[in-house]
Amino acid sequence: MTFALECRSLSKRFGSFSAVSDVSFTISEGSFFSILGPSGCGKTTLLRMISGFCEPDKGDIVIHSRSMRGILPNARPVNMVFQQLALFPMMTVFENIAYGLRCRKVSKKKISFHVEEVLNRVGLAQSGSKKIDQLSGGQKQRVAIARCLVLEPKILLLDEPLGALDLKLREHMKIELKKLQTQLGTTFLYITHDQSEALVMSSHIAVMKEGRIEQIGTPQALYQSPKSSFVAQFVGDNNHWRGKIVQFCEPYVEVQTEEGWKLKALYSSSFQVGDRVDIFVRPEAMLVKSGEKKPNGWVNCFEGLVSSVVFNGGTRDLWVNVRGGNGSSFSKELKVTLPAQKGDGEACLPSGRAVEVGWDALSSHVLKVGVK
Amino acid sequence: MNRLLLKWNVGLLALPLLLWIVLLIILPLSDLFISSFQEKVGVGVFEWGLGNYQAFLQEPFYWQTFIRTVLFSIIATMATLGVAFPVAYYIAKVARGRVKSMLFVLCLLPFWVSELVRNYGWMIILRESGLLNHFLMKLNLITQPIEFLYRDATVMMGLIYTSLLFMVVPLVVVLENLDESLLEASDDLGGGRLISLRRIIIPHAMPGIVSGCIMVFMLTLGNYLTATLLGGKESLWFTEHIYNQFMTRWNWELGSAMGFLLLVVSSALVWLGLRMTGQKLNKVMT
Repeated sequence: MTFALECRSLSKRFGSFSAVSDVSFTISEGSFFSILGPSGCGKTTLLRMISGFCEPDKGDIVIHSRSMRGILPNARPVNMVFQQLALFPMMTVFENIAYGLRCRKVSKKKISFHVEEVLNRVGLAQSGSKKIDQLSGGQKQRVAIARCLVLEPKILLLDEPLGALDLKLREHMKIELKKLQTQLGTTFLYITHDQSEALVMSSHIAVMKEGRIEQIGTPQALYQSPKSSFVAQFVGDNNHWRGKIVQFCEPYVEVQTEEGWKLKALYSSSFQVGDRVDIFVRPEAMLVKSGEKKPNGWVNCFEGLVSSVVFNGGTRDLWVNVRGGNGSSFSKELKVTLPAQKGDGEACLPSGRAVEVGWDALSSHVLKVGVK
Repeated sequence: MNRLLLKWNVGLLALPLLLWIVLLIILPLSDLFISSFQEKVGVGVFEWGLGNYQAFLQEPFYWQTFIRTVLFSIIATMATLGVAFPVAYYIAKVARGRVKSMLFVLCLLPFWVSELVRNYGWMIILRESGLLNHFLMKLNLITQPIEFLYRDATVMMGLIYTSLLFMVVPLVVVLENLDESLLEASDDLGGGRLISLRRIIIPHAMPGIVSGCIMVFMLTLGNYLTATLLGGKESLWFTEHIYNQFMTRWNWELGSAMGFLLLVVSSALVWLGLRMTGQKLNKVMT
C-alpha cells in the first residue's frame, strides 16, 4: 500500500533546541490527518519541513513514494494554506487563484476554466473580480483553500487556518472543511492546537509534545483510551488524580491518591501493588445525586458541595468541591458535565447544594506513571 | 469664549506652517511667475509679454540643455532605483538585528557632511592627479593619468550617489511591511524568484518606488552642485543656465521663465508617472 505521505524519523534542531525529534508517521490517501499539540511542540516546524520551507536535519519525507529530499517548495506536490492565509492583496480573487496556474504557464483559456470551476466548488462563483479586502473572513478562508486546490495537490497542508476567525465562523468552517475534504477526496494535513477542531474534523490525529509524537489514532481512540497522561489531559477535559495501587480486590484495584482518596478502578493484569498511576475520569462520565437517599451501587462515591454552575446551552458544567476521603482535609474541585434538560432536577442543582458525586469503575482510565 | 480661544490657539499652532507656505513658497513663486512674463523695454521699464519664453524657444542651446537635463534626470532616477532596490531589499528582508541598523546607518553616513564636501571628496578621488589615477598607475593598468572628471558618466554617478538615500529609505519602509508569508505562499504555489519579484514584491513596493522616484527626480532635476562640480563648465545642466541668467547676465526675467518651465515640466512628469503606475499622490507621500 502506498501512502500519501510518509515521514521517516524526522529530526530538526535550531541551535541547542530540538524542535522535532525522531518523528515518524504515515498518512493514507484521502484521509484528514491532524497534528495536534500545544504551541511550541514543533508542529509548525514539521509542516514547514513537509512543505519544503525548511530542511530536516535527519530523516526523510516521502510523498507518493517519492523522496522530497532536496526538492524545493515550488516543485513539491503539496500546497499550503497559511495561518494568516497570505492572500495576495494586490490581486483580485481570480488572480489569486490563477497565480499557481500562471506560474505553471497554463494557457489563459484553461486557467479561467479551472478557476471558475474551483470558485464554484468553494461557493464563491460570483466573487472572482472582488479584491481581497472586500471579502469576509470565511470567504478569504475559502479563497486561500481554492488557491491551493486549483493546483490539485497530492496533499493540502493547513496551518491553523481557523485561528483568526471568530468563534461562530470557526464552528461553521470546521464542518465546511470536513465536508469539502470528503467531497474532494484530497488528503488534508491539518495542524492545530485546538483539540475540538482536531476531534471534529480528523479521521486520524497525531498528538505532539515537545517535538515528539505522543500518540496517533482516531479521534475516538484518543478520547476514550489515551496512552499517556499528556494525551488524556490535552484531548478533552478530564478529572485527574495521581496515586499508588495499594491492593487488589477483584474485579477492582484500590488506589490511594496523593490527596488521601481511596479510588476503585478496573483490574488489569499489568498492574502490581505499589505501581504509581494516573487516574482520569471524563466529566460526562461523572454521576451526581442530591437528597437524603444515599446512592447505591456506585463504586466510587464522595460527598461534596456544588461550588459553581456553568450553563453551556446543551450541557451544564458543575464544579463540585469534594473533601478527600477518610477525614482528609484536602479538597479537590471535580468537573461534572450533565445534559441540560428542561425540568431535570439534577441538572438544576444550584451552587451551594450538598451532593454525592461518583463514577463507575468502568469510566475511569488508569495509566501507569512513567510508562508509555 | 473658550471656543474663540481654542480657535486662536489652533491658528497660532498653524502659523509657522502658514508663514512657511506663504513666505517661502507662494510669494517667491508668484514673483517668479509674474516676472517671467515681463519684458525689458528700457532701463527699469517693463511690459507684459511672452518674450522670455520666446527667447528660450528660439535659442537651441537653452532648450537642448533643458531636454538633456530632463532625460538625464530620468535616466539617473531609473539607475538610482536599480541600485537602491537590492540594497533596500537586503536591509529590509535579509539583514537582521545589528547588521540591519548598521547598514542603514552606513547609507545615512555620507549625509552627515554637506553636499559640497561630498562632491569635493569625489573630485579628490577622480581628478587627473587623484587617488584613482594614482592607484591605476601603481598597478600598471594605465600609463597616463585619465581625467575622470567632467564626463557625463561621472555626473551620472555623482547624481546616483547623492540621491541614493532618498530612494533607499522609502523602499526599506515599504519592503519591511511586506509579509514574509506572501513570499512563501508564492514559492509554495510554484512561483520562482523572478515571478515573486515581478508579481508580489514590486507591486507591493510600488508606492515606495514611486515616492522614491519622485523625490530623486526632483532632486536631480534641480541639482546644481553635483552637476557643476563633477561636470564642470561644459556639464550643460539646466540649473546652470538659470544661475547664469540670475547671477551673471542679470536677466532675472529670462531666469524666471526658465525656472518656471523647469517647475512645470517636472510637475507634469510626476503627474504622468503617477498616472502610469496607477498610484495616488497622497498615498505615495505618506
